[in-house]
Amino acid sequence: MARAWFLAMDRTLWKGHGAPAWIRRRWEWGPTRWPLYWCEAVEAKELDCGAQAALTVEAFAARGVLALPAQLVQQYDVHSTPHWHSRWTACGASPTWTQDGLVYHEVCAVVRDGRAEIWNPTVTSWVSPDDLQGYASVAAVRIDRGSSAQSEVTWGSLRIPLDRWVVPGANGNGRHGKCSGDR
Amino acid sequence: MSSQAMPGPTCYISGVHSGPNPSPGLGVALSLRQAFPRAHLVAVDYSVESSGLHSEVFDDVWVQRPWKELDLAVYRAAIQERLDEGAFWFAGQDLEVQWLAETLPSRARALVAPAAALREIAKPGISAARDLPFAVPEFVPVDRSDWELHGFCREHGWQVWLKGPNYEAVRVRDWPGFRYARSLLGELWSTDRLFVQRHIPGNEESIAFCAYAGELLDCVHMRKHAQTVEGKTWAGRVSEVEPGMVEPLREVVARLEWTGGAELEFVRGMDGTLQLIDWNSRFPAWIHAASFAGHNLPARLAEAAGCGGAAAAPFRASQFTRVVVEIPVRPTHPLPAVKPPPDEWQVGSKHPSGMPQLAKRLRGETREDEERERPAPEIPDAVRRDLFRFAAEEFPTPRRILLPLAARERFARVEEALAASAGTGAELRFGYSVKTNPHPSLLALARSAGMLAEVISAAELRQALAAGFPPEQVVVNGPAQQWPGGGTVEGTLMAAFADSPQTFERWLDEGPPSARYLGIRLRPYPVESRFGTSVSHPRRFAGVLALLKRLPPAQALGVHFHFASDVLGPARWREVYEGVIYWARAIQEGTGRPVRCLDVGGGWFPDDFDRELLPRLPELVGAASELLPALESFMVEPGKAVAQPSMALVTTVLEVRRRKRGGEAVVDAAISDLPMAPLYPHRVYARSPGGEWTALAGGRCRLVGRICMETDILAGEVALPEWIEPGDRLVIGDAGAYDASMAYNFGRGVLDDACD
Repeated sequence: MARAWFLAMDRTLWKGHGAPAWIRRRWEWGPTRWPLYWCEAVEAKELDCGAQAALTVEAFAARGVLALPAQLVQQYDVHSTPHWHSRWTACGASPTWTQDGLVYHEVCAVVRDGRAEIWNPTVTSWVSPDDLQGYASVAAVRIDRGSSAQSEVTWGSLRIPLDRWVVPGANGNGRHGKCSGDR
Repeated sequence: MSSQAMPGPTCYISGVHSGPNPSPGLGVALSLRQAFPRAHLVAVDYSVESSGLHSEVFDDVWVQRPWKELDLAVYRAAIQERLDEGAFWFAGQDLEVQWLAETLPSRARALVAPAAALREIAKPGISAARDLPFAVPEFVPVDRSDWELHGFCREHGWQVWLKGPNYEAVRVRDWPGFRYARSLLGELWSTDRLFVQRHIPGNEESIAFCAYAGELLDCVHMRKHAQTVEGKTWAGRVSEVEPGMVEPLREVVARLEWTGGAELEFVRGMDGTLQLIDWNSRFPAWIHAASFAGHNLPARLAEAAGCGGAAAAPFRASQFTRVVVEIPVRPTHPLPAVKPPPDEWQVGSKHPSGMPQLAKRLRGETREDEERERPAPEIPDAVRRDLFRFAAEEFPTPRRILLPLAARERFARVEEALAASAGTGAELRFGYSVKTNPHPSLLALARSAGMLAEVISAAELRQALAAGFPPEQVVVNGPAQQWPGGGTVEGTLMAAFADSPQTFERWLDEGPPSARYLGIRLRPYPVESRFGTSVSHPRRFAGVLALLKRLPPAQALGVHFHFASDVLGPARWREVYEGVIYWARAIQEGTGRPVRCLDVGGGWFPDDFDRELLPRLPELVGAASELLPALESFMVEPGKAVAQPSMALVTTVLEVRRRKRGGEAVVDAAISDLPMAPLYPHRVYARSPGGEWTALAGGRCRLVGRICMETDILAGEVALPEWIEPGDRLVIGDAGAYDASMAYNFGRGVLDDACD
């Protein structure tokens, strides 16, 4: 029932194009205890980035759009970390996604003709591949292979091998490798 | 003398106000100062209230009287004298650019585009952009009939702007709002040359460029990240113009022989199309942000015009934001005295320098000059024939009359649609909404056209049965179906829909109505409605599923959705409809029971019903049948689409009050006879001395009613022919739906429900 409700809501709010921004309008960004089931997700008042990204992938998929789970490492201020740590811990959720001003953040990559656009559901905007410096900038990016038959996509001018962490700007493009948030 | 000691160019920079709706002068000055540190920069504006006059970037100020006070010939000569002395002029107001282009004998250092080019960028068509990869959002000038303007607004779901010829745009969302904005803008700009344009949702972006003698010197792209409440840029990002845009722009600039700055304002629609909103003939107010992004456009223009070599524009940032700071006021130009608060009826203006007055002077005409009637709407043939039939009859007025030919034509549309629908999937039925007009003649026509009767109360149900509808031809919905109590129906209804879970639960507890289809009315989402059951929360949706599952297994299930399409617009109505059929599928999946009946409709404006709904019905039925394979019955309730044109209100002119501008006729009808008068245009017909029926054109006169209510205005903007005089009859059309069923007795000296 919960999934049917979610998909009907998405279909109601979809205008034939664009990303499912309604997800963030419906669910505030906040701590989520995992594992999370459909019936819990739709009843929640807050969902973390992982849950919001998962719902976003589901909505895109129902619309027939190839959407892949993606992850970012973003740069924030060090002094923000204790606030998030405290809030997540108080709710019994894991705070391990943030450390020393860096955050592990789950998003959604929409792939068309080998080109990816990355939708950040918790701020309802497309992530710019040019946002590589300063507050909230992208320090690393990873796009899951998921159901894609491709092994690589482009994001702006970056080549992103699927299932690999890429550090934009390194070696003139992206430096591939592993980081602590890798799955 | 070393080059360091050489005096820089003298630049006059006009339009320097820096408020929530800023002019570009301050940004132009900052950019020129960066490129020409020794330049002599003079701020020009037409009011001492212009805040940028006090900026330290300016070496001098040259404050003019407001445009309405200026002797344009004297001012033109003063500007020309300065240009002849070698100064450069950077105009910061579109209308000033236009005036300079048309008036200066020599524009060598005036840095404005040729007048011919400016004509090509005039709104709303912006013909200069035809070779650029832009579309121009659909628009219609307001010199059309109200009937046509209302149709345009409905077509775009009331997502429209009413715009002035030069500046100003008001978002309008309904007919009263449109009429108010039309009056406001017309008064402010002293013109009827307004237009209404479709709103384009999407991100607002700009391209700024500079050119000299047809050569494109530089261009930048800017995307707004934050805006003021007026939609003006507050923060953004400057970037290179997309490669595919530059060459077409270069060609257009060459063709126009453009000189000066410019800004193309556009919206990147959600579907990726670029919709051009405006082509400004001067730099944008954010132009200095381009300079610190490495593109100093004012400096490039100045260089090309002969200002000398500009210092390089080092890149500092591609993103920018505005801040609010206080600066000292120049002692030479103290703030004007504090003004008393404006009178409450005074029309406000955002233009301290008097732009509306300049616009009026540039047109060289007065509003009286351009006073002209807007065309009259066409009289439908059937209505014209009905009117001739009634012309000879004598009866007291006001009186609502049935237009038999017009009514038959409306019901014939339904019959034709039914005939055409055979074999498209689920069986199509139309339901006559009894509440729109329960007149026996219309009920009889509905029945003979094969329509069902849709009722919302026990009283209406009895009316439908009395009119000859068998129970199996009746659909019941509404929030108080049991009102007034008493009486039962023998037989099985076609369908009954509960307006709420509470009603449905009561049905289950007390026994539901006997109906071929039983179901629930869904509250459309995300539009606001007081009707139906909300499913926008999963718990409510689960509750609905639980209730529907309790129906006896043999009971066929239905889903109902009504919303006035003339409020949403036909396109938006279809979007909501598509959502509803997905909800029906979710209900089907959640209950494990097939949805066999869908009842949709509500509030169709007659023209939209004919042009937008009927041709698409096979598509709508097909989409529903695909998602709901067991669908048997597809019911459409056209709402007022059938009844509205079927009746008219006949009224007699009691008094004619002509004035120099406009006037009014007092008639013996009242708003109580035509309660929908403010909500949509009604065509008004009069019989000329020659015996011809004519529809009143748009104009500055009003038809006012007989009762002492400020709101008793039956038509706000009509032209009263010279031959109209007391005793003449007027026929107000389109009065057959809620104008009939919601008419009330105010002013007649009677009370329907007099208390004891």
